[in-house]
This record gives sequence, C-alpha cells and structure tokens, in this order.
Amino acid sequence: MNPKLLTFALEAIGRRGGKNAAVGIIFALLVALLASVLLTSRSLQSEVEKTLSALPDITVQKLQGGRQGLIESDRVYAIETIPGVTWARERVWGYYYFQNAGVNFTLVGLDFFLPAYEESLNAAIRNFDIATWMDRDFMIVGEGVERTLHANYYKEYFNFILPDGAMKKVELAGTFAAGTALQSSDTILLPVTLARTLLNAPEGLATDITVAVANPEEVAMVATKISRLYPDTRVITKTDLAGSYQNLFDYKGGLFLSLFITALASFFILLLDKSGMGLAERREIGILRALGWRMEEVIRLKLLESGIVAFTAYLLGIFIALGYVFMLQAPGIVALFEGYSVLKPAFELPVVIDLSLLGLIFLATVPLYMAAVIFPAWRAATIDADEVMR
Amino acid sequence: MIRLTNVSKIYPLSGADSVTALENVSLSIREGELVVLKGISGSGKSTLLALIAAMTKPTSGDVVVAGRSVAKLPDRFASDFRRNTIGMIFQKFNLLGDLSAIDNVTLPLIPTHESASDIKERAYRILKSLGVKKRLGSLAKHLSGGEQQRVAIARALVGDPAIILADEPTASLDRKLTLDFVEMLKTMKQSGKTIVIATHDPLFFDLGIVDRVIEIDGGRLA
Amino acid sequence: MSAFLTPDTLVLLLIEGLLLALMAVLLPSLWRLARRFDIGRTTPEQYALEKRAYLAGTLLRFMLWVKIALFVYFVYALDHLSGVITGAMCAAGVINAWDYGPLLLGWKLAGLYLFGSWLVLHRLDLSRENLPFSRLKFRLALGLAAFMGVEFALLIGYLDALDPATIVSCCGTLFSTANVSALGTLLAIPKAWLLGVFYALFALIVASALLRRSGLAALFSLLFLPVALLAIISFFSTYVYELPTHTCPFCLLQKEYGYMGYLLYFLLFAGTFSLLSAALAAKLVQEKARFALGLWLLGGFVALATWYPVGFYLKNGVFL
Repeated sequence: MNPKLLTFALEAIGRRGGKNAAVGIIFALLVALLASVLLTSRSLQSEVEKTLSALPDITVQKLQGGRQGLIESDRVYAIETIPGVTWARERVWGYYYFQNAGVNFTLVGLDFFLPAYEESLNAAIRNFDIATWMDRDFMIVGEGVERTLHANYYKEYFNFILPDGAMKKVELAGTFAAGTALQSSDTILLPVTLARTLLNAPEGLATDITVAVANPEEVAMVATKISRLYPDTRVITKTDLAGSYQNLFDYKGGLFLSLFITALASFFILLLDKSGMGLAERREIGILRALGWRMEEVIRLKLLESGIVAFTAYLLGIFIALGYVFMLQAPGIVALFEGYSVLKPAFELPVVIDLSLLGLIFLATVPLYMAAVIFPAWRAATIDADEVMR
Repeated sequence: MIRLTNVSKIYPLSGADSVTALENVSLSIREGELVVLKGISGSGKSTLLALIAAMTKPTSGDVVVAGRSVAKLPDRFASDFRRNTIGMIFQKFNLLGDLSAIDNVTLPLIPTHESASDIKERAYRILKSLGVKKRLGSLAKHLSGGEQQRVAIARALVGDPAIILADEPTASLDRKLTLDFVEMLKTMKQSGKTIVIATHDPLFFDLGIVDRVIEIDGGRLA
Repeated sequence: MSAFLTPDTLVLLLIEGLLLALMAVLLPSLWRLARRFDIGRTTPEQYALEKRAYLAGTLLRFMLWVKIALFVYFVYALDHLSGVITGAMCAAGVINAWDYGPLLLGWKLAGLYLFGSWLVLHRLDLSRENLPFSRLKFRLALGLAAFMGVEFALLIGYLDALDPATIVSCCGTLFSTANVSALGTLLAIPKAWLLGVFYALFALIVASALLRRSGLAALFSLLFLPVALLAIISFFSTYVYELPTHTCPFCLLQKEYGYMGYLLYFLLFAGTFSLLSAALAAKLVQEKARFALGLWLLGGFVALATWYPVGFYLKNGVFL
C-alpha cells in the first residue's frame, strides 16, 4: 500500500465530507443493527450453553398421544440395570403460572436428603438448614422469583392455587443465586411431595427420568437401549439438546440475517442508482489521468476511498452495537430470541465477543458495499485523459 | 524527439457521424526544439498534443516520442510514459482548487514509489525557482492568476519531463503574466526541454526563442 | 429447519451469489473481449474494448482474490457446522453429509489453482506492452465463469442436502483403512512406502527447481500434492492428535490443535501453487523461473509436518 495514495484518499474523503458522512452513517447504523442481533444471539447462546452443560446426560420422557405425559417412577430400576448407566432418577417438575405478574415459575421437586440430579441445585441448597424446616411447606426460590414475589407484596410466604382451586400456603425459606441467570432465576425448589401436590403428579409417576452415563462415548448407545426398552418414550441426550439449541440460534440469526441482507442490497442498489459522480469529481479524475495516473491507480484510489468509509463505518457500527447490547442490554432484541423462558428475568447479557462473529458481520456487509462502488470507480477511471483539454 | 507519420484521428459521434480532427499529419520535432502550433480553436492542435502525450490513440498512423511508439500502448504504459516524459500545461491551469499549491504540484507523483517528503522537497524547490515562495500551503482556488499559472508550470516540471506540452497557456492571462510566461519558457528551453505550444496568440509567432511555427488548419498542416 | 439458515452458510451464499452476479454482469463483455479484442487495431470499438478490458480485468482480479479468501471461510463454516450435524465431530462428517460433498470440496480446491493461475496470466499479460495474453485470458475467464456456475450449483445442492436430523459418519470411520473405498485402499499403503515417496518427491522438486527444470518441477509438484494429502491423513495427523488410530485431515482445523491445519494446508497449497505458477510463467514469457518463494513455502510445509513425529519421539522416546 502506497502511503501517499492513502493520505490522498483520506484527504479526498474529507473534501467530499458531507456525501461520505451520509453514506457512512447509514452504513454504520445498518452494521450496528445486524451486529446487535448477532451479538445478542451469541451472548444468549453462551448463557444457554452454560445451562446445558449442567444438564443430565440423558432425559427420558413418556409420550402419550404424541404429547409428554407422566412417566412411571419404577422404570428407574430397569434403566439402572443397563450397562454403563451410573444412576437414573425420577424428576418432578413443571410450570406454575402466576397470574398477577403474568409470569411462569419453574417448580422443581427435590428430595432434600439426597444429592440432586443437577449439580447447580446442590449448590443452591448447600447452605440450607433442612432441620428447621422439616414437615413444613417451604420453598427456596431463584432471585427472579423473589423479585416478582416482593413486587407483589409476598415477603414470607406465597399462596399457590392448587389444580382443584384451593389455596396452598408455602413459606419462603430462602433464595439462591445461580451461575446462569437465564435458567435458574425463575426456579422454585420445593420438597418433592409438595411439588407433587402443586403439579398434580400422583405418587409413582414422575415428570421425567434423568440418567447419568459415566463414559460420554456410551451415551448414544445407552439412549438407543432405553428407547428399545420403552418404545413409548422420547429419549433426549445432552448432545441432541446442544445441537438443537445451536440450530435454534443459527436459525433465528439466519432468518434475521437474510432479511437484513435484502434490505442492505436494496440500499446499495438505491445508492448505486443515485451516486452519479459530481462534475467536480469527474474533472478531478480527468486531471489526474492527464497527469499520468494509470486507470488502475484511479480505481485503486476510488476503492480505497470507499474502503476507508466502509471500514470506518463498520467499526463505528460494531461499537454502537457493543454499547447497545452490553451496556443498554439490547432493548427490543432479546425478545427476538426468547422462546425458552416466558419469565423475563432481569439478567445481564454475558459479554461474549468472538472474532469469528465480527468476521461474519464484516463479510455480510462490507463486500456488498465494495461491489456497489466498483462500477462507479471503473466509470471514473476510464474517463479519457484528453477530456480536460476539450 | 517527436515524429508523427501519416496520423489521422477520427472521433466517433453519436450514430454513424464522426468528426475528423486530424488528417494524414506527418511532422517531426527535434530534441530541444521550441515549436509553436498555430491554429484557431477546433483546428486540431489540441488533438495533436493529446496524441503526443499518449492521452488518446490515433485512428491510423504512428506516433513516436522519445524513441518509443506510443500509438498503441495499453493504458498502464501510456500513463507511465506520460508521467515520466511529458509535462502538460493547460489553458485553464486545471488545478484542484481544494488542494494546496504544493499538493497540486506533487499530484502526478502520488502513485509513484518516491517518498512523500522527497516529492514535497522537489515541488518546493521548483516552486521557489519559479518565484513562488509564499502561500505554498494556501488552497489553489485562493491564489492569484499569476500564482496559479506558476503552480501549473511547476506541476508540469515536477517529474522532470523531457517534453513540455502547453495548450493555449496564455489564453486566460493578461499582458504582464504572458510576458512572465515567456521568461519561464526561456529557462525551460535553456535546460534542454523540447517544447510544443499550441496557441493562436500572435505574440509567439515571431518570438526570438521560437524555432519553428507550424500552422494547422482543419486538421491538416498548412 | 434447513441448514441454509445458519449465519455462516448465509454469508457464504451471499458472497458466492454476489460474485456470480458480478460474473453474469461481466459475461457479455468477456464474450466480446474474447472474440474481438485486438490491441493492434485502432477503431473506436477497440478503444471501447480496452476500457472494458480494464473493467473486466479489475473485477476478475477482485473476485478471484475474494474466491481464494472465501475458501478458507468455507472450510471454517464446514467445521462450525459440525456442531449442528448429528454425528459429525469435524468437517469430515459435514462434507460427507451429501454424496457430492467431497466433489464440492475437490472442486473448490481445484478452483484455488485455476483462479491463481488466471491471476498469474493476468499479471503477465498486463506487464507486456502488446498485451500478448489478453484474448487467451478472456477466453479462459469464460471458462472460469462456467466453473463458478457449476460450483455454485454444487454449493446450493450441498446446503440443501444438509439436514441437522440425519446422522453422518465421523472421521473415525471415513478415514479408516477398513473402509471399502478407493480412499480406504490408498490409506492401506504401508506408511514407510508413503513417507519414502513423500520425501523423495520433495527432494526431486528441490533438485529440479535448483537445476531450473521448470517442467519437471511442475510435474513433481503436481504429484506431491496428493501424496502429501495422503501422508497427512495416514501418518502426520496421528502425531498431531497423538493417537495412532485418529487419522483425519479435518480435525487439524480445530481449536484443540491450535488451528494448525490452516497453516499446514496454506503452506502446502501456496507452496505447490507458487511452484506451478512459476513454471507456467517461465514457459509463457521465456524468463527465468522464480521458484524461491514456492520452495520456502513447501520447505516450511515439510518441516512443519515432520516436526510432529520428531517432536513426539523426542518427548516420548517412541514412535506411534
């Protein structure tokens, strides 16, 4: 790169500052829009991945008429006899809709005397003194739940409405903070018998069964064996879930990206149409050609000018997006990706910036810009050198 | 130094129309010669200069400049030839008004590999020798007519070309500035440059330093 | 849910589509240039064509460089897709998710060499006053347009066939010697033989380059490419993974191995290409072949590949 040409290009941009600034700012805003969506998606994705890594290796659900139903608890014993399985446990959990606040809580039944199937739950109740609460109806709630309850003036207890319409008073025994805000913030931990009452799950039936497998290589095989053993079940492995989440985020991000690209392309077609060279610019190029500038040097100059504007605008757009997503918490965009949690916990988007994402945004925007300017650049460069003499 | 052999130039117009700017022109100019091309506007003298500068290509015939046929050069070579061998002075100076005086002078050398400070230094030296010492940083559009003329000449000389081509260089100058220009021409001739001036200013026709006046009319040599 | 809609594949499609559109815009010009361009003529048509030639040349240069850079992105996207495609541990499974996937990869790889050669021809053409290769290069550009068209069709077919739900094989089965396929047979060649040919060819390349026998240097470089790929799969890669049964040319591209595959393949492809193009240039314009760069790159490749088994031996005192 010729430093003199670079300086000259920079000065030329300055000389036509108004036009360049207008195009640059529009482009920067478009980049910012795309970057905001993709950064939010990536940030949420990392949050979900953290959640997933804490999940059991295999989850077994019973299907009834194509929908999930309650599964027989005693299937746990048959599953535990499959070679490679470390343990299998029933889970009792479900959602409770709190009408006043318009949110769903996740109720999770726990046997407080046994280690839970999920390490994060063990952490949540580690400092909890079960002896004081024995034989009482109590719950331990995530921070999001606590916030919602306080906002509705429930400080010490909460009245659940049972499936038969009766009220059930449950005392608030404590709160826990979780590593991943997205998943656990809306969670309520309860003794398993109480959970059965609230969720209308009779003894002997469970929501699903989780299975731990010692060797990750054997997970797929164990999963196949379980579904052969119980053809009426759906067997989900952690890998499946991770894949389908990447799929979901890719899909939503992709859907947005395709819409975005359409918009960007039409913007450039419009730009291409309107951006005839001014008379002054045409004269300037004619002079350069007469003074011995090669066509390729003029094209290089013009592409350099556009490239500088595009790259500056790209950087500006990325910074706007970073501020919007991580400082302002992406208002309006988070909603685009919320398909997995109806509760809207006030959580911080974890700052995840990976270079491949910035590269992707670059590739999705800047080449379009450059393609839009290459024809005007060529038209400029092929102005006849003797034009300034006519 | 410059030799044209049976050169014709036909510009196509819209449709089947065309205009013949030069017809079967042959002429030869020796190294160090100062030649005046005399003719009214539209007589083809600008086209002749453009052909010598390899700005355009002849429809037929050959143009040999500094020992090199430039009639069919691809742009890359034609442009390099123009940058290295030809210094152009235009009727309306053709300065970039939004650039400073010194930046206008360095303009032809921007794509070359010489360092920025080297070309600035050269431009400064040439401007100084032409009597422009102040206002080097002023924008060209704020300079006086005389200053603009000197900047335009400095720009033609900055690449140290063997040939200077001037197209109606005094058409927009008053009497005093025209005489200044003649003085500068003398210096250029003394430094051994081959000079071709296309003009219809009678002052040049019987000037002592002019070696030859070639008259051109309707695209033919008279 | 279609694999079309991941941001990676969309961007890939966007840029490939953009390049194809530019190519389509250029086609009429290329056609006329290929038939009518003649630097010796002085007609207005020729002057117009010369301007067109600049546009076509500039655009093609821009596009082909983008294509070459895009190959890296393509490989990256494949690797990234292995997270979505069930059963795929690396790009190997992803590319094999469609029967013609390997063809697409091979096509793209061949494209690197073709595009590179065209760029060399273009540079040679512009460096001569009489533009000796203009007609030729525009004719070849028409061929490149067809090549890119087929490539785009393959890409569409490939992305369309990708289905996150179907289970593909991982590299463990694809590159096993038990695999009953041409590749399986080739991988069953004894390693000592393979390595012998590998180092012998490299020595022959160096010798013929130093002796300025461009034809021989080009021939050996061409032969070296497949041999080197086989050697990577069946020998060198196992030392990168430090696992005698892990033979895969794609896992090298992953983070666990410091993305070293990108460097290794860059050195191999750039090195062989540089040698081939130097030989080609020497042939076309009768000048001394410039082999130095290619030799350095290829030497770097051989050194890097060799370092893995040697380093392993130094660390552990045994070979795998």
